[in-house]
Amino acid sequence: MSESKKRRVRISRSVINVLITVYGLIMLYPIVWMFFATFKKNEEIFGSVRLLPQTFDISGYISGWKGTGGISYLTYFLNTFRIVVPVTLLTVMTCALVAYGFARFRFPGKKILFMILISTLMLPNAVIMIPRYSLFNKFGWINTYMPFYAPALLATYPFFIFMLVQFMRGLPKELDESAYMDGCGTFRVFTQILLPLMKPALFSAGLFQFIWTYNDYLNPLLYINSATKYTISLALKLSIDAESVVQWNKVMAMAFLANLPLIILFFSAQKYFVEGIATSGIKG
Amino acid sequence: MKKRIVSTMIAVSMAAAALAACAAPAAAPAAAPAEAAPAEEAAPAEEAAPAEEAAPAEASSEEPVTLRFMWWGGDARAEATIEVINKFHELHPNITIEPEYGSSDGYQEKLTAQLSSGTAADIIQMGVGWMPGYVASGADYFVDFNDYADLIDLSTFEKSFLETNGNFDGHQYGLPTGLAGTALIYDANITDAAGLDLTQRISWDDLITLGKQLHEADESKYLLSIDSTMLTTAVLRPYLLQLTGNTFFIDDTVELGFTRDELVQTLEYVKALYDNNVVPPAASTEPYSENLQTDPKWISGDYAGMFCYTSTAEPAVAAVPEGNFKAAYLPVMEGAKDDGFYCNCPQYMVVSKNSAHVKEAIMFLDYFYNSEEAAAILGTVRSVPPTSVGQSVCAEQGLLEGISKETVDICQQYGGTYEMGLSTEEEPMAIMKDMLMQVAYGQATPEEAADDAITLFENYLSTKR
Repeated sequence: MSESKKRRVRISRSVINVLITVYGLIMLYPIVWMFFATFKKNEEIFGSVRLLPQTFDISGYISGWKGTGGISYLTYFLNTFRIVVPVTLLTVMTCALVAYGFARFRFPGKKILFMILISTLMLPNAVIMIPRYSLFNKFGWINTYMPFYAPALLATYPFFIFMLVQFMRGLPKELDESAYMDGCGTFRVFTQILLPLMKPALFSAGLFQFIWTYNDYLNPLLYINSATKYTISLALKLSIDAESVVQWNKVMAMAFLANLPLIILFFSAQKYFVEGIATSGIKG
Repeated sequence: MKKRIVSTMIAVSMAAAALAACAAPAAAPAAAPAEAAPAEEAAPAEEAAPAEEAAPAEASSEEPVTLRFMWWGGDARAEATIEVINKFHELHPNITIEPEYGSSDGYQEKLTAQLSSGTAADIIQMGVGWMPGYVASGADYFVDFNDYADLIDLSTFEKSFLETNGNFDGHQYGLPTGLAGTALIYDANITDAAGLDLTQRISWDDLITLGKQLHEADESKYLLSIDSTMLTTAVLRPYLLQLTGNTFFIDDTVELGFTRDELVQTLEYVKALYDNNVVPPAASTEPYSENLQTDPKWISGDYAGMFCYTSTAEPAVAAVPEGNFKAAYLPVMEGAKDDGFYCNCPQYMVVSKNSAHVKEAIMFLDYFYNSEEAAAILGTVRSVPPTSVGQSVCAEQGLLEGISKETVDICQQYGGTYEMGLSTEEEPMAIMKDMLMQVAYGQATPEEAADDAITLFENYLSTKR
């Protein structure tokens, strides 16, 4: 009886595994296609449905990497990381701090302040685009990376704050109290008790912010003027124009390279990522 | 996609509000230059300009000057333009020009934000369709090139061409970058095999006869690839223009340029294009809208021809390497009251009034347009050049061959009424496209679509009166 039950479990397990594998391959297909498209000529990309290229021609990578106007993709990659890394770190740090305040302390006006915070979450990004532009312009921050750093430093991401508050509320208060008993101050409770426990939520906030900033097109477009300060998302668009003949293998090659950091990041941080989503209930 | 449309709309409306606020400070210094209190951004630039006029020699010879030049376009355009900038820097070591180039995607949003907050580049490549809106906003954004006739030689442009391109009420705010217009291209390999003759002047009805013939001979083939944008600019508006002799909207009176019956007749023609399989079903071309050259059926040679712009003819042809492409005449109906098609330019070059170095910017544009060296580098990256210098250099280099030259040559033979203005603004364009797509997808009869659209057009016009 138990033998046959075990076998049934094993069969259904392997069916599920096969299904998941097939599904995973379907999900990966666009990236695989993109990888092979980097070796193809324009006619082959558009004219043929074959996945494998006729020849493995790496000229797309070489000429693509050179970029346009003497600025190579090295510059664009460095620029992107110059924005993304500080923004991600600052966002995680400041949002966690603000969330700590809202989750653990009682202070006058807390409810109203939290309501204002949440209401800014509802504010469509497009509405604040022009006012924010003129503000940053007054500060003289146009064509610098300050429009990216400053909001991250000031924890202006209500979504992450809300997420972290919710997560922190799930951590038992008794932990804090016992830490206080042992003589911890409020800041040490935060850094030594709560932060380690919040790792999954912090990771998912960080990952989301990383991906969003990395993929962002509109903000770099608005705030950055000089070609030497362009990010990858801007650079990738440079070659695509309706009025000129686009060398797609170049674009595909660079787009594939641009995707690599995200793919690597996702797979290496997958454990935290999935945990974070499962525990905080958000999806990309 | 939807998100982007919404954000664009909001951005534009916000910009409009910002324009209203900016209009006052921009006008103020002209009346009272000393009164700089409300015009933090506009004032320094305004004050700098007269100072330079008094001492032009020092300004242009010694003092190091940095200009910003913003344009959109692909790799070839960027490479050539940067090379021209570098050559100009060799000639004038004190003038450095920072290139700010990008994709056409989001360009207008960025430009609107920059213009309204006074951070626009000194030299700007400007879309022809946007310019009337910026000029009509009343904010004095751009320099009138006529005021600097001693710095830039405008006589190399054809006079009448300048008057219709970039000239607003006598102010030459924009300089056309090239010659461009609507084009009709076809692959002679396909039409010859089917025994079709597209070398003669054709009428709208000829298009239907030819298209029917091609499709009947081979079920998989269609005469023309077209999307909602080209259906609007290459069929709807020219057809009505020829039929009525009026532009779509009459800018002077802010009224419709056509009657309901005339619109219905035009839509019936559009329906006939689809019913007779002259053009492929909208469902198969519309996914490639604005990028018809990436349609696999275009690449595989299922479509014999395409309505496009002279500037997009080259990429369209390049997508089908084995094709033998020619430019056809643009269709004109019998007894047309107007040619319907006209030759204009793909973009303007403008100089921002906020610029602290207007003189240097104009000196650069003089080099850009009128130097043989620059013309040789630029070639046709912004279509066939508009100046006599540019054209002769390109002709010598053998650049004036191929499909872009052929299409421009044909386009220049049409002297239709220039319609840039109300008829080409974004909002009515969207209504026109919706109307045409309703007919193309068979969701509405020409009568129903016309009635619905006329109500929307009237609404739009009432906001403009």
